[in-house]
Amino acid sequence: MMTSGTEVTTLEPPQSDLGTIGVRVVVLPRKLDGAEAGGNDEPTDLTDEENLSEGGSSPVASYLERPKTGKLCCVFLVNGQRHEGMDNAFIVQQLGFKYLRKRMMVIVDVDGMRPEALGELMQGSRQGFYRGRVWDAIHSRLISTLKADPELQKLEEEAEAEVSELQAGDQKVKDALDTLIESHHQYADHVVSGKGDESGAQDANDVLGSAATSPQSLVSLLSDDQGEPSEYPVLVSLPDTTSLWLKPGVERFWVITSEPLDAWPALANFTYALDSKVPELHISEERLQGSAILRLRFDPPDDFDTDEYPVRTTLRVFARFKGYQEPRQLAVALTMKPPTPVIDPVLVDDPTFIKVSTREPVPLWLGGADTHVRIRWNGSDDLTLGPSPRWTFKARCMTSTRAGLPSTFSQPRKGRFSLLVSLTPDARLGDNLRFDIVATGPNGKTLTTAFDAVVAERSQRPLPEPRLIAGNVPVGASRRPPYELKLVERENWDNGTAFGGENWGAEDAAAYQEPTEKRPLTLIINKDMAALEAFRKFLVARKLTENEIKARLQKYNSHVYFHLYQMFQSAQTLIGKEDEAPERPPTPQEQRSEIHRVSMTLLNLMQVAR
Amino acid sequence: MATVATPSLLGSPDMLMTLLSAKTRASIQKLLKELPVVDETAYLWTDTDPAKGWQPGKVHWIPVGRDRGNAGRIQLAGDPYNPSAERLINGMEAIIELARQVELLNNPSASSPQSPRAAVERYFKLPRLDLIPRTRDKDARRTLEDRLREVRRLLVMRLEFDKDSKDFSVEIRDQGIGQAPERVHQTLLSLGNTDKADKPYLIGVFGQGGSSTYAASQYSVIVSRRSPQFLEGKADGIGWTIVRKIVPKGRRDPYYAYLAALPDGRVPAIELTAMTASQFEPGTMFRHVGYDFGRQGSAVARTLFYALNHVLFSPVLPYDLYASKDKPDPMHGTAYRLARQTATLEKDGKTVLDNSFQPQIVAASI
Repeated sequence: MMTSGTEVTTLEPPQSDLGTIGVRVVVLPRKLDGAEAGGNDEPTDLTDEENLSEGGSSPVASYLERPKTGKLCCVFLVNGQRHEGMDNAFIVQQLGFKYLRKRMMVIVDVDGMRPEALGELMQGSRQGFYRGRVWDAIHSRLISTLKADPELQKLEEEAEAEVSELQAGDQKVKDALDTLIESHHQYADHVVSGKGDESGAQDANDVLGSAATSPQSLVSLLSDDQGEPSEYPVLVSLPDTTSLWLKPGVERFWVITSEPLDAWPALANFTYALDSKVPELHISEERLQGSAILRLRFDPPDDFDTDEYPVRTTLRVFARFKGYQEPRQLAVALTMKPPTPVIDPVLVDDPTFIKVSTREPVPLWLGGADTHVRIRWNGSDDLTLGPSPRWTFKARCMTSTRAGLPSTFSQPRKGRFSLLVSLTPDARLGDNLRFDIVATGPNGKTLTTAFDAVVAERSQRPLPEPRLIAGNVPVGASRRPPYELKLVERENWDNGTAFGGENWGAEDAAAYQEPTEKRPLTLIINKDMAALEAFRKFLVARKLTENEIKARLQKYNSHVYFHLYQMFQSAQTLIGKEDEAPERPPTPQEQRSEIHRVSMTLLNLMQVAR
Repeated sequence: MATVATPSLLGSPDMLMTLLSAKTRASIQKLLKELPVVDETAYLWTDTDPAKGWQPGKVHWIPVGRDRGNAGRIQLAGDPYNPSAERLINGMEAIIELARQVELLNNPSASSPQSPRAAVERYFKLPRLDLIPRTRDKDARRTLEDRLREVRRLLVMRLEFDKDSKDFSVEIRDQGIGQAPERVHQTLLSLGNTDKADKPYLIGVFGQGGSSTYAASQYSVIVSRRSPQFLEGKADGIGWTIVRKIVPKGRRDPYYAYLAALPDGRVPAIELTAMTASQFEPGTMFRHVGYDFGRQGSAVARTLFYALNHVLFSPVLPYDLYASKDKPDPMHGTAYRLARQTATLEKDGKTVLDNSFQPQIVAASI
């Protein structure tokens, strides 16, 4: 894009120069969930003057040729007219930005190509470029420019973390129930009851909780110089980090899963603990089908003494997997402090400095992609805009080895920009290079800076592996008793699992089976209860979508299960205290009536709800 | 001054009004019935002796580009939107050419702009359009936006839909340099005869992109009037013609033909009067009637907005689109729309990336 007169000078320009291209990359924010569902028919940038839209599901949908079916998110322009395009397979496969594929557009301006090269590219039919040597050269340059772009890489990492939290599966009801229980019991006593699926065949004392800790061996993913070799599964996190920064009042997610992923269903217990207590730090847990999310929020009171910043602690997550003796541990260092206010730099029309802000010597990585060297200056961004910009930049490799080729500059944004440097095939590991950068403005005014660089290779760090180490593991109560969710159908109504060991009937809504030595608390819903059956028909008659129907039934199930759970908890507190408590434990008939009442209330409410 | 021999009906002021209001196949067919048109079977154009069989005082069908085998060069588009975009490109070129000729009139030694964008910057004081929303200086941005609004009016696309006939018509009207009636057949109706290659400030290269619109429509009405400063000795007037596809019986090589007034290919002309001059300002109008969008209804109007903005992703000049309504959509290309969106999001504190890399060398060896 001929946006600026920026020049990139090398000691010896490539012999086979085909001309120049300009590249622009745009990444839009992820749409909100509601918009992603496809209900948003308006591009967010429409002005009053513009047309109505066809809705699309991705953030870039309204910038494609056809919002609902458009694919060309990477376009090649000749005099502003699109002559070629690629779909987001290029973004995923060639650039490696899988999670940005629906939010990213790449615009390549080939106006600067030499006429003969353009002649090779363009077809009279306008049906795309000829995919020969010129195309191949442009394609390679494009990949080199974007593949190692640190800003794109950062956005990709953030997007990956966001996507993880969106994963949900068949266990929606269970997850919802867990959440209900957790929120209900946040300040209640923790109890342990029963055995079975959730807790495995462990002794109650071994069940992980959130109370005190005791020394114990545990397994973590570490380098091979720590502890003793052990075995998978281990706990891993997204983002894959050992530290998190929590800004006051801002919730962050830490997603924990297992490696291998398919070990997660064997999770028997899961808990977490802080090395040092931080009262202002609130942590809530949400379980999904293949992971758990810890939501972390640091909420200091208004009178929190700012001298206490930064507040630091370590959050440790512990889990037991069925069939493995040692608990698994994952730790992350938490730093809580407010962000340093970002002050927009003071930019002027008559800039006075330019400097390289990447730490020197700048590593120029072998491997094909350009290295982005960060630069700052105090000139207004507008100074470099337009076909005849007031200021231009020039970069040179001063070292005679010719191993580094400045390839382009990015457009300054708030005074920050990058110089892209590619390496020639002659570049050798360890080569030291020196570059200078000159900004030239009106009346020949110049600003200069220079930087040292070294040709480097990304070291292949030894992959961490499961290691057995000594640690402290929380012991005590589980936050909630293990339970199992069941549905009973008409054909199994005579199995004697309704309250009081009775068989089921069309009026029975649900029942629970108390935990035993071999089985956890079992919560059972009568899937073919007459009123529930009628409710399903009602939903179908309203022509709701399959997903909407499913969501409503899940809501019903999770609330009925929750009420059953509460009934069980309540009954437990009264057992053995018949003489002391003002209330006696409910009879099976009373329990049957109670859950029937709850079920009917729910169904009635959901019928009148929109 | 040479004049085009045009029968009175063909050159009457009423003819102009009829042409400007013909937006359906039925109206064009009615017009053709009223005109003294020689049937395509009664006159067969040949490049060796085009006067053979010519009936003076009548209009005849002559192959576009005076090439009997033109279908292969016209039926190039695989999509209904690209041909319209090509026509818009033609309009932009006509506008730039007018500005260039005005410049030469004032300064015959003025150097030629080296690219269409350089020409637009020089003549219209507009940078690449997507830089406008990214201009941080508010006053400068407002000035550019005002200029954008003015320039947009020079090029207009109008989509209309006739509910009774279910016909779409697509009209592209520019206020560019236009063509004198005597030159229309050599310029607007030529195929591949381009003088653009030595004009680096023009966009097209092959000189035939816009002609693919003939294949997308049943009829095309072309009306053009040269800017009076640049008649170069040609007669002033309003040239017009109609293009349609002819499928000769018993043959499988259709071709596209236009109505010509003379065997050398010249088109009919309407005399310039005070009334016709006010009805048709200098410039060119292409109206493609019975345009095949592949589907009917309001969806076309909506899709056209996105499709044109995507095909003309970063147009050198803006234009107005009237998509089945009275109010225009300002068309600046998707590059501009993205820039405006990212600027707004950034202002709202959203995480957004809009990063441009300046021109970089492409080496075949890398």
